[in-house]
Amino acid sequence: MTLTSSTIGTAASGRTSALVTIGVGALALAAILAAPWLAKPFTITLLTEAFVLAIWAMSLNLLSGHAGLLSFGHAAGFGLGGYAAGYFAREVSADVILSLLFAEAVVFIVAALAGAVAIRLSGVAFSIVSLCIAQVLYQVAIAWRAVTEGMDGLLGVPLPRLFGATIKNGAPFYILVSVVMMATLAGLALVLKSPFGATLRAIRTNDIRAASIGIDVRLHKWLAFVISWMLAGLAGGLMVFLKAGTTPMSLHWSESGNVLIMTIFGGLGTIVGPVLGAVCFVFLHDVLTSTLAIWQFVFGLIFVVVVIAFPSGLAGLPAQFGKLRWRFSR
Amino acid sequence: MTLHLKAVHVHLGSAHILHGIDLDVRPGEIVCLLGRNGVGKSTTLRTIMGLVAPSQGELSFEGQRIAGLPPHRVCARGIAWVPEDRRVFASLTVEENIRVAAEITGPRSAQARAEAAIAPFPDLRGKLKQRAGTLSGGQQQMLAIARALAAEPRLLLLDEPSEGLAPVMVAAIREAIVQMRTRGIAVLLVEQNLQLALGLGDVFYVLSRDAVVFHGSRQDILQSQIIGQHLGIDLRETERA
Repeated sequence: MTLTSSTIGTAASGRTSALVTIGVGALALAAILAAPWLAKPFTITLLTEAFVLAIWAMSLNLLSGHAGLLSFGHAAGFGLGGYAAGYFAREVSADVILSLLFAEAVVFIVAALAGAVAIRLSGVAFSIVSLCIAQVLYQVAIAWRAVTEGMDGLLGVPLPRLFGATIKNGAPFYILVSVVMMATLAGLALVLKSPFGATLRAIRTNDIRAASIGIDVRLHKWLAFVISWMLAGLAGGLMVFLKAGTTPMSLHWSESGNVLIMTIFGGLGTIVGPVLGAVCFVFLHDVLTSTLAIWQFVFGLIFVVVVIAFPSGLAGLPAQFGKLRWRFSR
Repeated sequence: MTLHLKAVHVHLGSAHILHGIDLDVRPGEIVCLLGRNGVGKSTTLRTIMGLVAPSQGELSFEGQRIAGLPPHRVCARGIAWVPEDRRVFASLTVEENIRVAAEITGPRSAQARAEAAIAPFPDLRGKLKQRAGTLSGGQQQMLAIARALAAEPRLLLLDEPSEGLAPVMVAAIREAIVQMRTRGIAVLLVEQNLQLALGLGDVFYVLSRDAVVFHGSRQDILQSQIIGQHLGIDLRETERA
């Protein structure tokens, strides 16, 4: 679509905004890659966990923030990916690429079937069905002892290997996770800027209206569901290498609640929000649990205050401060 | 024949909404569907679009049966719908609203389709990067029509496009509908603004108590008593106004 003279001002401000985004992105990238040389080993471990959870939160953001399907059971893809990658690494090969590919294949099959059922519903009904699917998988993980080892969990997952070399915990695994997280972030940003992303937002706004202009709503919702689960499975697969194992708790509804908190905290429907939310969640959790006996209460209070004061989450703070500055400058 | 409805009945729950509607739209024709509120005009459009399933009757477009098809398949056959509340995708920009519809039939000629769709609405050209929710009511209506045109329909269903708009905006919408006719797009227009409908329509249907009570040309409707009887409007008063 061609630009007219009246849109040139918009284009110029768009270019400034793009330059600021590129600048901030470059600084963040430099900080992430320099962290192993600057931060303490424990901080690197926390950052590794935060980035894995960021991938998971980004996957939920695609489904709930952009496609408008609020999932209460997003632990399903995460836990399933973790079990599949962990089992493959322990029983077949610790090659991280092969393990993750196997996990993605397993998650794809289950997501394709679960999605075909779940996306026929919307609103609260979808949320409850997603919760039920996760709880079914949780029960399967407890009962199928031959594969999952029940409540004991799948333990003894070896260190991951990449091109024949073992990736040790600490800085090497952190670099791997950082690269995967940034690739996921960049990939999702591109997808959300594409016509597919705009179509998902159109469906989120009004699915009947979207259908009436020719959008196959069910197909797009199913695609969003499957992609979202596969990204969650990727996060689960990385987490199983970080923790050297997994338990049925990775599929529990409380984990689905945690990832929802991270995503809303960071900014549902934004692009970088889930990353900010996951990093804050992990570090806040660490600080509070090590200093306060009533950490759950304080954690919950902070979450409530942030959601009420900043409905767009942490990612929406610059825009909110911009509005305040404009109001006070008048 | 572009669109053909024969003895279409619609039930919503236990309510019998349409009682055997017969309606035809020919290529490039503007057909107006008139009637008081609640007689089933919008339901007729929603039934054609696949949003409501007919309980009985024939519904075909360009010779192919469309009853029972989901809305996106009806749209793929060449029918687009602009609903009465002109709800655009508020969080998307004007450009994205049009591109979403233009991309459906493939990305190759999406640009050309988007350009052609926006052509009748010069007001929107300067607002491509603006969020649709921030447009005025008239501009949102224009965007809703442009979005429908982006799918390159051969039949456009317009549900009360002038509702709540300033006269200058109604004139712009009228001009756009005239342009559609020149492009060969058939229009099925549901409209309460009788002046607008009488100025545009080639063929008129009047619905009353959920059935068609009149079908004829502009000349026929002007000569008949049907408007006074079923719409409660004195045409001479309307013409004077």
